[in-house]
Amino acid sequence: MIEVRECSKAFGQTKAVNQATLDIGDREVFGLVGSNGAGKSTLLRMMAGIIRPDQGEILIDDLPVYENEEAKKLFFYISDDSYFPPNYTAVDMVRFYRNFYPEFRIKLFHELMDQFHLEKKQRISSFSKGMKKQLLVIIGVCAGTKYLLCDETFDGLDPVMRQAVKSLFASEIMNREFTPVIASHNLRELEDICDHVGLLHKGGILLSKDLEDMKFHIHKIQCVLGGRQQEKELEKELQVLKVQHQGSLLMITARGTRSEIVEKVQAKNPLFMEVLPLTLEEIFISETEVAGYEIKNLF
Amino acid sequence: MKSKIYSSRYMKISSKGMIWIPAFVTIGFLLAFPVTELIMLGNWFGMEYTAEQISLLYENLWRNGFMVSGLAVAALAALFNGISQFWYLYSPRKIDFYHSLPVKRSRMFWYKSLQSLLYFLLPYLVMEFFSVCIGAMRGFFSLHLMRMAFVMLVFHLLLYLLLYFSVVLVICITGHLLMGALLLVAAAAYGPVFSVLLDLYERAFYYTRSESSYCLVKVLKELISPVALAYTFVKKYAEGNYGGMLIAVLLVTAVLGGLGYCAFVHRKSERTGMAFVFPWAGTAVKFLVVVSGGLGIGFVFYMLSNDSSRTIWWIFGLILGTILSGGIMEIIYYRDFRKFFSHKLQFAVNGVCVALVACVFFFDLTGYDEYIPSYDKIENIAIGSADNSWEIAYNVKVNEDGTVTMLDSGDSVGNDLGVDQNIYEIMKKLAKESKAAYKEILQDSHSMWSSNLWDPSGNTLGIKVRYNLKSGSVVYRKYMVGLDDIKNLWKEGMTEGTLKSEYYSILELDDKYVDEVKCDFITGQSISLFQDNKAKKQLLVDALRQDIKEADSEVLTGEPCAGLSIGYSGVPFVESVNAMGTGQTGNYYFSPCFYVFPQFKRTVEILKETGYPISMDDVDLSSVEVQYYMDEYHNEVSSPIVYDQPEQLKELKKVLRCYQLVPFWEKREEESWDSLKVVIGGVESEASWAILEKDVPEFMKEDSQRALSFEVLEEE
Repeated sequence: MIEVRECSKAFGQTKAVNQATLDIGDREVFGLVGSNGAGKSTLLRMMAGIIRPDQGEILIDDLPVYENEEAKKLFFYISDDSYFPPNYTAVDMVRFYRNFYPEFRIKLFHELMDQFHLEKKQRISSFSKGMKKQLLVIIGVCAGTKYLLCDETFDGLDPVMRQAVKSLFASEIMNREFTPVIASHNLRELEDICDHVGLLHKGGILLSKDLEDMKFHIHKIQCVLGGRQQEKELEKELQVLKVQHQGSLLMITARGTRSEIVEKVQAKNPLFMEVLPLTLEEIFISETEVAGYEIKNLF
Repeated sequence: MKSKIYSSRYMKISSKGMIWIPAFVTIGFLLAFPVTELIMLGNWFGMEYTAEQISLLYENLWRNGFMVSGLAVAALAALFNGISQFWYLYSPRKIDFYHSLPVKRSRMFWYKSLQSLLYFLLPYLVMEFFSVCIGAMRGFFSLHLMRMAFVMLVFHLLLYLLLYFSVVLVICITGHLLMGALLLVAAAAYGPVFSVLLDLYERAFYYTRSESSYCLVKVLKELISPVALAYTFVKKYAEGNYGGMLIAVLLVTAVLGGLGYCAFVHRKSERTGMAFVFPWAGTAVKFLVVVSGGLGIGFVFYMLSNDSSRTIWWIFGLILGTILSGGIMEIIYYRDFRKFFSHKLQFAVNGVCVALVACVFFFDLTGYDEYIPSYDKIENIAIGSADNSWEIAYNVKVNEDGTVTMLDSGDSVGNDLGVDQNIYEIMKKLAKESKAAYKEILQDSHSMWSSNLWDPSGNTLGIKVRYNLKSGSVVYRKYMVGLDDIKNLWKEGMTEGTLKSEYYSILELDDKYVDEVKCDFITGQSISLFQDNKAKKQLLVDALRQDIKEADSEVLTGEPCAGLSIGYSGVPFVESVNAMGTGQTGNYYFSPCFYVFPQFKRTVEILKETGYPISMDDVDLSSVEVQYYMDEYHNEVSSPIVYDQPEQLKELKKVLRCYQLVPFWEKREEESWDSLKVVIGGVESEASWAILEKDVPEFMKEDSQRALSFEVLEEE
C-alpha cells in the first residue's frame, strides 16, 4: 500500500502539492487525475523518491521512500519525459535495470517485445514516442516490482496499444501483486483502465474514490414522458444533477442506484426509457460539485 | 538486498557510451609518458650528454617532466570524467531516470567516482608500465626509479582526485550548464586573478612593495584555485620540498570530496534549472565576484587618468564596477534582464565591502607601508644585493664529499643579515623613511608601471628585503634606502648576522680549484697575476681568505685599494639538471670578485710584489682633465679644464677613485661633469674614474659653478 500523508511541496512561492493525503491500495489500477499544474507529476516524483516532500511523508508498504533502497525496489517509475542513455538498445536497458531489480523477468520481456512488435536490438533513440512508452511499460511490468508509477504514460499510445497495455495490467494483477498508478490530465484516457481514481486540484487531493462505487451511485437516463407536468414531477423526485432536452427526449443525470431511478421513471409511464453509460468526466462533474467545486474550473 | 551497482556487469553496461573517456585518457598518457620519454631520450643521446648526465636527466624526467605532462592529462581526465558522470544533474528527465532507481545517492556518488577513477587509473597504469619498460630497455632501471614511478602514480592520483572533486562540487551546487561552466572557470581562475588584482592595487596605492608574493596574495595565487594548487604541488615536488604542499593537497582534496558528496546527496532535484542548487552558495559566489569585479573595473578607470582626477575616476569605476558586476550576476542567475537590481540588500553589502577594501588601500588602514614584523617573530632578515656592485659573491656550501652546492634563496634576496636589535631598529627606520623617499622620488606621478624605481638624485637605492618569520612564513618588502643606511645595514649584517660567512663562502673552496687570479689595481688596470705560478695564486687566495676572516665589519665596508677576481675551475658541483650543459660532467667554473682593503696585510703584501701601485700615493698622477656641465639639463659641456698643478694633483690623489673600486653604497659625483680623464705617467688611463660627492675638492666645485654660469665659456 502506498500512503501519502499530508504531503506538501513548494517550488519557490508556488505550492505544487498542498497537504495531500492519499492511500493507494494493492492490486488496483489507480488513476491520478488533475489538470495541468495540479501537482500530479510532483506527487508522483515524491512517491518515486526523486524529490523530498517539504512536509508530510510517503510510505510504501510502511517504508519511507526517500533515499530508501528497499522501498524503491518496490516500484518502477516511468516519467512523463523519459530518458534513455545514449546508444542504448532495449536489451541494454534490460541489462541496466537487472542490476537494480533482481526479479526482472527477462523471458517475459522478450515475449512482450515480440507481442508489441518492438525491435530489441535497435537503438532506442530511433524509436517513436509511442514505442518508447510501450518499451517503458514493458520494462516496468517485467521489472517485477509491486508498484508501477506511470506519469502521463498513456499519452501518445494509440487505442489498440492502450487496450493491449490494459490487458497486460489486468493479467499482471491477476497473476501477482501489482498496482499500477497512472497519472494523467485526461479523464477519458483513464476511465477504461482505472479501478480507483484520485482527483488532484491545486496540489490537494479533492477526492479519491472507487470508480465502480462512483458509477453505482450516479446514472444517466434518457426517456420520453407524457407531458411537461410529469417531467417536473420526476425532476423533483430524483436528485437531479443535470437535465437536457432534445425535442421530446429528456436526458437526466441523477444520483441514486439504478433500480431506484428506474423505478421512479417507470412510475411516470414513459413512452421510452433507457439507462445510458456515464463517462468518467460526467461522474466527476457530479462528485466535484458535491465537494463544492465548479468542474469548469478543473478541466 | 542492495542494488548491484558495484558489479562488473553493471560497470560494463553503464560504461556504454562513455568508452571515449578512457580511450582519450589512454591517448593522453601515451603522449605524456612513453612518447615524451622516447623523444627526450632520443634528444639526450643525440646531444651527447654523458651517461651520468642522462641518468640525472632521466631521473628528473620522472620527478618533473612526467609530473607536469601527467598533470595536464589528469586535469583533462578529471574534467571529462566529472562532467560525463554528473552533468545529468542539469537535466530534470535524467534526474528522474537515475534518482528513481533503487540506489542511495551516497552509493551512486561513490560508484560514479569509482568508475571515473578506473577510467583514469587503468590507462595510467598501462602507459606508466610502458614507460618503465622503455626506460629499462634503454638501461634505466633501478629500485629508486621504480619508487619514483610509484610515488608519481600516487601523486597523480591525488591530484586527479583534487581536480575531479572540484569539478563534481561545481556541478553539484549549480543548477544549469551555463552557471556550471562559468563557476568552473571562476574556480580555476579566481584565486590567481584576484591575487593579480591585489598586486596591482599594492603597486598603485602603496609606496612600499612586496616584490615577491607572500601571505594572502601567495595563498590566492598558489592555493585557492585547484588547478594552481595542483601545479604548485608539482613544482614543489620537483624541487624536493613538498611536505607542506602535500598536506595542503590532501586536506583540500578531502574537503572538496566531502563537500561534493554532501552537495550531491542533499541536492534538491527540483532546483535544477536555477543558477545555484544551494541559494547560499550563489550568494557567496556573487559576493566574491562582485567585490573583485568592482575593484577590477575601478582599477581600469584609475589607469585611464594620470593626474589628480584619477581618484575621482577610480571611485566612479568602483561604483560602476560594483553595480555592473552585481547586475550581471543577477542576470546570469535569473536569466532575466529585469532582475538587474534585485537583491538590493546584497548589492548594498557588496558595495560596502568594495568600499572597505578600497579604503584599506587608499588610506593604508593596515599600515602596510611601514609594517615590519615584530622583533620576537623574526628569525632572519635578508636583503638583495645591489645590481651595481662590482663585487660578485656566491653563497655556496662545500659538502663533505668535496662537492659544492649553490645555496640559492630563489628570490634574489640572498644576503642573510640575521637579526639583532640593531638590525631590527635600522629596518624599522628604513621602513618609515622609505615611504618618504618614495614620495619624494615620485612626487605627483606614480611609477607603478616601472618595475625598477630609480632615484635620479642617487641619494637612495632600492633594496629588496625578506623577513623570515619563526612561524615559517616570509614577508617581502622593497625599500628606497639612503646610502648611509645601506652601509650601516651591511656593516651590522657583517658584524652580527651570517652575511660575512655567506658572502665569502666561495673562498672555502679548496685552493686546488684556483685557476686564474686577476687584480683590478687602484689605477684601474686589470692584470692577470702569477699566470705560470699556481702555488702563488693559491697563496694569494689563501691570504685573502685569512685577511677576510680577521677583518671586522668596519674594514669590510671601508675604502678598497684593489679588487681580486678569482677563477675557480673544475669545481665538482651538485648540478641542477635545468642548468646542465651537454657533455659536461658536473665540473663548474666560478669567478667571484672581492675588494681588497688596505688592512688586508697578507694580501696587500703579495700584491705589492707585482709592482703595481696599491695606494694612490704610489701613482704618478700627471694631470686630470674635466669637462663640466654648463646647464642643469646636461645639454652643454664646457671645454676640458686640466688640473696639473702640484697642489691640485696632491688633493686629487686623495679623492680620485677608480670606478669599480667604489662600493655601491658610496655616492659618486655625477651631476657636475661629463667626463673625468686621468693621465698617469703621461699616459691617459683607460679606466673610468670617479670622485665621491663628499670628496669633491673646492677648486673643482668652483669650476663647476663657473661652468654653470658660463664663465668658463666666456674665458675661452
